[in-house]
Amino acid sequence: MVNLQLDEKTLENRQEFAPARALAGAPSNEAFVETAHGFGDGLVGVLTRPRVAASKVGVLLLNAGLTRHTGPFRMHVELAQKLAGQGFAVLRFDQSGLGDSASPGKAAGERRQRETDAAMRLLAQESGVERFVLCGLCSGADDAFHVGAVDARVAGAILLDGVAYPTPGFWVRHALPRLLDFGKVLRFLMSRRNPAPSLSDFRDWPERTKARGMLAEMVARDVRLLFVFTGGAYHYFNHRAQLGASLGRAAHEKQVSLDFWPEYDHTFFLRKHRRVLLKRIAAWMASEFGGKTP
Amino acid sequence: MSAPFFFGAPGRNLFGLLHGREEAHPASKHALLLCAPLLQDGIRSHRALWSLAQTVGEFGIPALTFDWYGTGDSGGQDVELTLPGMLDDLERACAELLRRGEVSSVQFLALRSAALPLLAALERRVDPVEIVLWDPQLDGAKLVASWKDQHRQQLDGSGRYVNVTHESDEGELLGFGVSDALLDALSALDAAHIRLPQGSRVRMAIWEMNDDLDRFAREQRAGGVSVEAVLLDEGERPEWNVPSRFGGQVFPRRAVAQLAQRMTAQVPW
Repeated sequence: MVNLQLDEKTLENRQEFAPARALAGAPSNEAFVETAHGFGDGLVGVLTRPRVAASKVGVLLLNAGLTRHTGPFRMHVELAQKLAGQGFAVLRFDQSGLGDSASPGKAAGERRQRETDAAMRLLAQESGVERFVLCGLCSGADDAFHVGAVDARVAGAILLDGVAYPTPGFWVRHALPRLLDFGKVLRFLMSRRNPAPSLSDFRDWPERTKARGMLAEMVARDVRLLFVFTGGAYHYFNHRAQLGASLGRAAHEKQVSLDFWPEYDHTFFLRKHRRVLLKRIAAWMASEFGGKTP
Repeated sequence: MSAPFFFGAPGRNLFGLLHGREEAHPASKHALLLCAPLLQDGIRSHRALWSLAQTVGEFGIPALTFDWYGTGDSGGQDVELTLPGMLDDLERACAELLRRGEVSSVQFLALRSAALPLLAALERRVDPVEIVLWDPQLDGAKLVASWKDQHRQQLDGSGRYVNVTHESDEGELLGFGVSDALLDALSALDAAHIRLPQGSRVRMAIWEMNDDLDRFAREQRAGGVSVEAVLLDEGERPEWNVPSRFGGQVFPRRAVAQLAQRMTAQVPW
C-alpha cells in the first residue's frame, strides 16, 4: 500500500519547509516559509508565506500558457519569495491538466472560476488574507482578467502581455515599415494562403466591447491593474496609447498602470530582464497594497 | 492520485510529488523514480513525466517525480545546481520513495540530460540496478556544447527580440544561472566510461540509434550489464533543438504510453 498521507495532516495536504538561508536578491532573513498543498479537485500548489504578520492581500500566480506553476525559467518561485519578503502571502498553483495538477475531471464550463476560487480559499485559510491580486503572463493574464472582472474578492491584477486589441494606429505602425520590405510582404501574402496558428489563436480574449465593459467594471470597483507589454506582444501591441484606444477611457484611470517594454521578450529569457520585472511588480504591490518597501 | 511534499536534509529541501493508489492489490514490491532533464528541457517535458508517473502510479506502482535542488519548487538558487548535489538528491529521493511507497526496491527512469547524473549516482551502488534511459544524452561534453549553442541561438537567431540585441550575464545559460562547476563536471562525464554494478539492466527508449548510444551499450555489455533498446515512433520525435520551439511543451503521447505499458509490464520490453 502506498502511503499518500502526509506527515502533517490538515484539512488540505500540506508539508512545510523553511529555507536554510536567504536567497540573494530575495528575502534576506529567512523571511518566508513554503508549504506544498494538494487542494480542490486534484490541484497542486506551493504557498509562500511571510514569517511575520502578513498583509491581508494575497497573491495568486497563474499558469503562463502550458508552463508549470514554477513559471518560465522559475520566475514564479523568485517572485513569490520576493513578495513574501514584503509581507504578501503568495500561492503558485497549477490549473487542472497543467504541471503537477490532475487532469480535469469535470466539464470545462466554469473550471477557471472554480479552480481560482479553490486557490483563493486555500490562501485565505492558510494565511488569513481577505483579498487577492491575480498575476499571470499570456494566458495567465487572460485568466486574471476574466476572474478579476467577476470576483469581488479580487483587489488587483498583474497582466503580463495581457489583453489589448489592434487599433488603426497599431496597423499603421505595424505595416508601414514592412511594406518597404519586399521579402516580408511576400511572406505575409504566402501566410494568408496557408495560415498557421499564431499565439493569438491560443488566447482567451472577450469580444472588444465586452472587454471594455469588464475593465470599466473593475476600475469602478477600485481594482488596481498593472499592464506590462513586452516586445513579445508586437503582433498585437506596439504603443502605449494603444491600451486606452482599445480598452476605453477606464484604461486612463488612476487604478490602471501601464509599462511598455518593447526591448524585452515574452518570457523574460534573460535574468537581468526578470530582475527588472520583479522589481517593478514589487514596487507596484508596495504602492498599491502597502507592505514593506522592496 | 498524487501527493505533493517537501523532503530532504535540513537546509536542502526538495519538492516531490508521489503518484500512487491508496490500495493496490497485490501491492507492488518496487517503485519508480523519475529524473527530470536539466535546464529548459526539464520545464518543457514536465507534463510528459508527470503523465508517465501518474499512469504508472495508477497501475499500483508508486512513482515519484521530484525537483533537483536549485530547480522547480525545491530550495536553492539555480546556480546552486551541482553534480555532487544531484547525486545527493537522488539518494534522498530514493530513500523517500522506499519509505513512502512501502516497497523494497526502486527502478529508475531518466529523460535526456538526467541520464548523466543518474548513471553517475548508480555507479556508486554495489547491487544491480534497473534503469530506463529515455532519449538519453550520454556525452557530457557534447551536452554542454549543445546548450551553449542553443543559448547563442536564443539570443541571436530565434526571433525572440524585435529590432534589438541583448547579451546575457556571465554564468547564464538558457535562461538560468549555471555555475562553471556544473558545466565542468558534466563535461567530464562520458556515460560509456561509467561502470554500473554487474548484473544491472538498462533499457533505452530512443527515437534513433546513434554512435554515443551504441558505444554506451557495447561498454556496458562488456561490463556484464544487460542493455536493450526500444525504438519509439519517429513521427512524434520532439524538436528539442529547434530555436523557435524552445518555449513550447514537449509531450510525445505515444512514447509516454509505450513507456507506461512497459514500466507496468503490460507489454514486454
